[in-house]
Amino acid sequence: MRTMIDIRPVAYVIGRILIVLAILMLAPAVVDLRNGLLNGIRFLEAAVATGFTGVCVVLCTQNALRGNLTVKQAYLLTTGIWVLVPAFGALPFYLGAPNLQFSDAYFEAVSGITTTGATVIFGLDELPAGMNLWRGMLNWLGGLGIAFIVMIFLPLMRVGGMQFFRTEGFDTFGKALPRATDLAIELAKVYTLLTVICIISYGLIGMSALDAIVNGAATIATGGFSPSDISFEKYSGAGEYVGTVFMLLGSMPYLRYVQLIRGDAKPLWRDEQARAYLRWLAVAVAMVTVWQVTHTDMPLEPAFRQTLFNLTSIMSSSGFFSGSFPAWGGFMLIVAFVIGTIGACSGSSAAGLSVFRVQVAMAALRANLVKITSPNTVEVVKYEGRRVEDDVLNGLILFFTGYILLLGTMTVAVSLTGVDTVSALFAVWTCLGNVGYGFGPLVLRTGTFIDFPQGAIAIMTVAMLLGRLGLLAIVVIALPSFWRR
Amino acid sequence: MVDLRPVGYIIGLLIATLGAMMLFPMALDYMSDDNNWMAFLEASVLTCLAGALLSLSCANNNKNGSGITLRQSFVLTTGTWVLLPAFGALPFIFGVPDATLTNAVFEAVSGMTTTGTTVFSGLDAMPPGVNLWRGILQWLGGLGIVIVALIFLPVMKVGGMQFFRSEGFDTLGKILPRALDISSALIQIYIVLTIACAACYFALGMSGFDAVVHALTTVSTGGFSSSDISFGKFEHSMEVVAIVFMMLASMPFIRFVQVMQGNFSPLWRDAQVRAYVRWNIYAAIAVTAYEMYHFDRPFLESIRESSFNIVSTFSGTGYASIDLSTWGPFPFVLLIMVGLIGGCTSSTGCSVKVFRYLILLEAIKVQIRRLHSPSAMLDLRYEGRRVGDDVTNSVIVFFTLFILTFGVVAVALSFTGLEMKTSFTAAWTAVANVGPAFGPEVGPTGAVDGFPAPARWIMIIGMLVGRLELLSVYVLFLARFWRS
Repeated sequence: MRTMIDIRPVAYVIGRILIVLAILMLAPAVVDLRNGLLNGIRFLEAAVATGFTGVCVVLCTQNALRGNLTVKQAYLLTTGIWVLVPAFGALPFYLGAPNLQFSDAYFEAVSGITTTGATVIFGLDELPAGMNLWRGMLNWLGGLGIAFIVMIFLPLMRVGGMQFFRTEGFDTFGKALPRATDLAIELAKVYTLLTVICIISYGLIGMSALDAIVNGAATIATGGFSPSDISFEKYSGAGEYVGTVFMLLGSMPYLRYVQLIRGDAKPLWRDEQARAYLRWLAVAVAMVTVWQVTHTDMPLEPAFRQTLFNLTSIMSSSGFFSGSFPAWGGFMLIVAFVIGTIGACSGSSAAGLSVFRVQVAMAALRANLVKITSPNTVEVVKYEGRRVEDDVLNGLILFFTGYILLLGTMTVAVSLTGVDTVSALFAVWTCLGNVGYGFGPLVLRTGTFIDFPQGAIAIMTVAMLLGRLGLLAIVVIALPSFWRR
Repeated sequence: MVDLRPVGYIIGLLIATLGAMMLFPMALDYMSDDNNWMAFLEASVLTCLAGALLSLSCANNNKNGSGITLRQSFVLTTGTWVLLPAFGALPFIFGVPDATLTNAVFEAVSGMTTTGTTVFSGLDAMPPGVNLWRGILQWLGGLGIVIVALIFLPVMKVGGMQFFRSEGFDTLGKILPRALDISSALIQIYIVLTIACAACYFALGMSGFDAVVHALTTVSTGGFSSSDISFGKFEHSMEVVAIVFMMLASMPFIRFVQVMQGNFSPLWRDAQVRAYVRWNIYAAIAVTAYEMYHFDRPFLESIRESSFNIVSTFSGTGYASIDLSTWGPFPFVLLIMVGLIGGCTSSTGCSVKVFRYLILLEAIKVQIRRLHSPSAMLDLRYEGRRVGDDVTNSVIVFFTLFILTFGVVAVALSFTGLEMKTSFTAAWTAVANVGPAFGPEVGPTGAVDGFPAPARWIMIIGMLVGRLELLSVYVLFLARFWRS
């Protein structure tokens, strides 16, 4: 075993998470059983299978977690969680009401846990309440999980320039776990608080209890699973405005909220990333609204409301939709593509390139241009007044490049399964950026990904995982040299 | 301030040369009894006059010996590609296509940037001079870009081209004198290739005129054709000739100089050439397999079709032998991908270039290795030589900028009212200088005259920026550039 990484601590943690997952499955089970639905039994079956596996793994590997995880184990843990947990989270979809085949069920669970929100279930309104609750819970857990990972693990792993945030969180690896626990608890508090406020707000504007809970959980997680086939169109009007606010809150850097509840509002207010995020979104909304009002006879208010809600949903990588927006076509599509690729802020549950990376990349581009004209000047790239070191810059720009390359190659792969070009491009875009929003002829019929061939679904599942875990974490594990030594 | 006079002097000379070139189509039209020759004569006189005036007014002001400074060379390259097409457009306005200013400039820019997107339809019925002029524009554009890529870009340090500096020139002061040496070798090779290509076309049965026009646009990887249906007009053997010469034209020309000196191994060993050929073969095989499997096409037909269209897009030429929109989703997306890769550096090929992708892939590999062995010293190597950080950085910056430019052009195009697919492929064809665009607004012959005028101007800008490797244009917009 000396030549290999010790995977027992990793398995131990994953086993504990599975046990938690099994316990959580009891909630939808109870809901369905109380409604007298047979589906509740399926949840119990899934919970037993998951819990049993979890307990076995924990028993086999207990006492393995001594001290801290190494960097390699941290890599393995992150990837392991996001690959294995949805496999069990998919069990209810496989056993229960929607009766999906396993690849579809896994897609649905991965889409939930990566907070993508792309669904392959059509007829959501007729599903048992427990099933929709489970989808919301997957979103919520995925959002919370990624907030932990982004704030605690990724900076240490130096993925995609995230080491820039290292000093804000922790300095050295040795301190990570003790301090991580503190931070994790505060983070979970903030996250839960936001969710509760969101659910109450949804309840106040007239959503049913189930709808408010599922939509609330999916909104704060920037997930996008909705208990209805028509998503937020069901609550057109006030629902769209309230949804916009909470999607925005869910896609800001969480660290700022932690500072906020410690009584310091300034960091959130001054955060360059959050400011740029709101600014860019405002520009996009303004452009598309103007376009829609001038090119069709749509009145201003609905045009603005639908644009605001849908573009926020896309940029925050949520994936709710409302109105006729997905069918607007034209200019909107390109704007949506661009802002969906950019995504929201680093350090939140949102995905995509992130505003931070785009901002730094722009600063680096500018520095490079200046260097070309005056080769002898030293140009320093700065972000929020701090110098961005070269290794951060390299990691970040390579992430950028890798993202674009992956977007291209996966589009090729999806189109190989016979999907038309626009649908294929947007399918990869939506999965890699964890957006969840569908465009293109194949999606337009149902608003879901149900019409995609199995091969495409498999590729999209991989894309969601890659997009969620910052690409490199997964790629690193796929390297043979990672396992050696 | 940047002293613009040496720049004006050179551009003036180039414009005058362009005017002289107009005499070829004039002579052709005159001989074929077409009244259109008058248009070329007018344009030629006007162009030569303007060129001579510009040149004379700037003459004898070069304090720097025969060299030009770094900043002047930035102004020179962009200035050349902006001003020359303006004059190259004149025959289209004076003569037969009777084009509007927008269309004429579009056609000339598309020619000089070797893009190959056309706004004219009914090409077969046009006077021969017009088609010859379109060919000449591309041929000059192709020659110009090879010289720029070999002489100016390495010194400008644009997009990692400084890696090739030692192969070309070391210091700035020597730009012009040594440039003349290399250029004359290049021009010889370019002419030899063109003649060989024309001879092959002619030998296999093209008319003399078609052979010349197509040779001019093949060797420049331009893609203008004298027929609305492009290579659909000719026998299939022509496609094979075109494949060979498009491939040759998109390989590094410096290697051909070495071949002329009797040294074949640099061409053979060139990492870029090898990767380029390999990727072309992969793509062609993938498309062939797809076509055979999905549409039950015979092997020979589908391999010819796929390799012709793949090579044509990969090299940035843009000929078509069939209606590409009927090709199925996978080949279509693959076509877009290879268009975003493009040919080799210092060739007439366009887009991001194979070299930059090789560096990029290496950089990603190094970065991944660094992730899990943070303390190891890892060097990035290309052809056994160590690649400096500045090269890697500028390659990555170039790539990022390319994608951003592509995105901005696509957004702008769709704002003019074009469909999503049209604006996406039009941005692709413009920035990567490929040629064809797809979508409902594109005419049946591939002409883009149905686009709104603002869309055509956006494409003009996209073509220019893409051809001049982005950064060399963008620096002109920095206020710092113009301050001393």
